[in-house]
Amino acid sequence: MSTAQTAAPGAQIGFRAYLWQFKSGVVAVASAESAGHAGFGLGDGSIALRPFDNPEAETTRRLIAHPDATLLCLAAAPDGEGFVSGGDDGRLMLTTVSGEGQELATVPRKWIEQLAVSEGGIVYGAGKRVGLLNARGEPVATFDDHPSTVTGLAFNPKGKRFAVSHYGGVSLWWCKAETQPAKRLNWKSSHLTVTWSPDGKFVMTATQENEMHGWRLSDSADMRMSGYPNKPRSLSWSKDGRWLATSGAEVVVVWDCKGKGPMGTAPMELNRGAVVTAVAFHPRLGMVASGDVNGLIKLGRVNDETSIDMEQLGRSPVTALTWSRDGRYLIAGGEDGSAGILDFGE
Amino acid sequence: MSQSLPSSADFSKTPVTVLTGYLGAGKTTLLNRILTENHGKKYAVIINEFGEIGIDNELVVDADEEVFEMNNGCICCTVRGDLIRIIEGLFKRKDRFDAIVVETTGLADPGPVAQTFFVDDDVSRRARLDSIVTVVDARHLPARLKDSREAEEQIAFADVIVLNKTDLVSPAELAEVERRIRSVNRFAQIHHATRCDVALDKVLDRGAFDLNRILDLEPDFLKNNPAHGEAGHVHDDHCGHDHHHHDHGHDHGHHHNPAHGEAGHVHDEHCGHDHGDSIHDTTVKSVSLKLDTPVDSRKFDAWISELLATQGQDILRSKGILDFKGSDKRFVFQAVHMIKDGDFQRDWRSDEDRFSRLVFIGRELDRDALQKGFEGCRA
Ligand SMILES: [Zn+2]
Ligand SMILES: [Zn+2]
Ligand SMILES: [Zn+2]
Repeated sequence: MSTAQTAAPGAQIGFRAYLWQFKSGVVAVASAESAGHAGFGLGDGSIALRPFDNPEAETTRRLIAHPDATLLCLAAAPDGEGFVSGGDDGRLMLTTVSGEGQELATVPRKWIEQLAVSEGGIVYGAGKRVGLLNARGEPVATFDDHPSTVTGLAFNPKGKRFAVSHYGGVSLWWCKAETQPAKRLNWKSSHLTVTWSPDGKFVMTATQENEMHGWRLSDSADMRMSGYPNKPRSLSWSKDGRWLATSGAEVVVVWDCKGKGPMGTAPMELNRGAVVTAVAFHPRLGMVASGDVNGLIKLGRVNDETSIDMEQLGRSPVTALTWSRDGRYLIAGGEDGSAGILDFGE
Repeated sequence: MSQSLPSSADFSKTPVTVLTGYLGAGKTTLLNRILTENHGKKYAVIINEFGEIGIDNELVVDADEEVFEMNNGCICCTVRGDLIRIIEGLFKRKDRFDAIVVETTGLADPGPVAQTFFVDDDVSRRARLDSIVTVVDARHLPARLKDSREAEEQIAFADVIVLNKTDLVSPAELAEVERRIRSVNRFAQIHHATRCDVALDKVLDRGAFDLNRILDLEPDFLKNNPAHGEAGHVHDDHCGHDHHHHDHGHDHGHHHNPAHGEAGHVHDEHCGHDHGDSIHDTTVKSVSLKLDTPVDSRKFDAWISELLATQGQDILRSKGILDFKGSDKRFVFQAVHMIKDGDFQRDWRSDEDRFSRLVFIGRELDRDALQKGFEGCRA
């Protein structure tokens, strides 16, 4: 058991770290909660599995989701029994933890780079097209009316609508009404990812110009949050939707989204150090995990604004970071194939 | 708005060759040679005309040429959003390739492609622009230059020009085509070819955007320039006659060309002013300036910054070597539109003449004004 000292005297966080190295870089991580496995989506097209109850398992099981191709995105399947992944082979795959693979969609000569999963469905992006599938992976509808390649996807909290980022803004679609035109949130910029707040009030994007852009859905008011030295690509909300943690600076920039929104307010700064490349809010508590460009994992607390160094994952940028849904495990992966699970116990 | 380029090329980064030219000029032949000849490198290929050409390679990516303006609103500060995305995606599995070729359509402006490598940190962290190679068809180029701004820009941006299908034109036509290319871009290396049979080491690994190799381009240019009086010769300040002190009038003794404004003056590319489409089909030209006495670094910085901020839209590429007063090292400089980069390089050798030289390729270049501005930077 390694124990780290917090900045606040007396307070301690106990955790156990399991670290290892893959030959291929980690593109994305996900937790197949029901099946009790962490999944590491690797550049070589496979998904490496680690059981939460035995993360030190000598052999890593590998699910070959995209043979001879590159895996570009990964998420837990709606039922938590496996993983959904997209690749540069133009295939969207559902792979169970037991190793059964099923092709959910195929888009010839396109990359499937974008993916979002809710309890009720799956959306994926390939070029300008977004495909919607139900929770069983059956196709429901496609949405083609986007001005450029789709760069990000996010469901709203109820899973009834989803947001699509692209050049010039965001399109909001209803899952049940593909024939209706999208509601457009316009802002002239190249938007690189999108997220929908857990309280449903805000849609936020990161832009090519190293900024955050947001819309308050009640009145479509624009919000612009700048000051990042890099693109704030990784975005994560606190459970209640009050805080939005972002990467792209030498701190985790945390915006306070209560009331009318964060524009014009000074953000909280946590986990100061090297440039942050990945952030993940704890699913229950006011804590943000982050990974930086040098492979260091940190944890910061919102209530007293303290931060601690957790674990040196590898020597390259942390590319993927997520908590298991119950908040016990932190799953991390790096560009150099470094990977780990941090177990915080009960 | 001017931004700085990341300093000097890092050769551990993956080289990217941009291949431009009209369909039919022979671009696909060259691309397939790059992919199949035995040079020990695996290429990833980003192409835009997939449906029309057969490419023999494992890793071919279809791109859509999505050109995005940066939010500062400058119409020349554009990037290729699709390239940023694709390069990032390719690096998720970098064991599959050692180098990248980006093919662009005949209608593409090379500016946003080049700027992408300087503007985007995620791209420039991993990849470096090696050179822009333009394939042109010796027989059809004159017509292309007449009807297409893009054909001209592709020549203007090029570091290497493969002048293909030379077997289909007479020696006189070839010399004329070459003169036309030179009137747009005096500094690119031109290689004659039939069926794109240029040696690949003339096309790949050129380091054309490497500040340390800027000077290397000049001797090549001298070699490529036919001798004075021969067909295809382009006059410049290497000729030994006065071009750069344009204030002194049109001093082309051997041309017997009366001075500007005098009866009998014949306008040509030496005049230093824009002659417009009635005389030249091309609007892009090259200007080379030279100073033999040291330059004040602060004056130069102020002048070049202002120049690129106000005329960067029309100045496609610029490069230079500067002899700054108080420094024993050569300062090298380059820019794509408004995006510039500069760095001190090696020491001046005791056996070489110290000088400052700037070259510009662009539209609406006022040679006299540029020369005057440059002269104003003297220490
Ligand atoms: Zn500009
Ligand atoms: Zn001459
Ligand atoms: Zn004239």
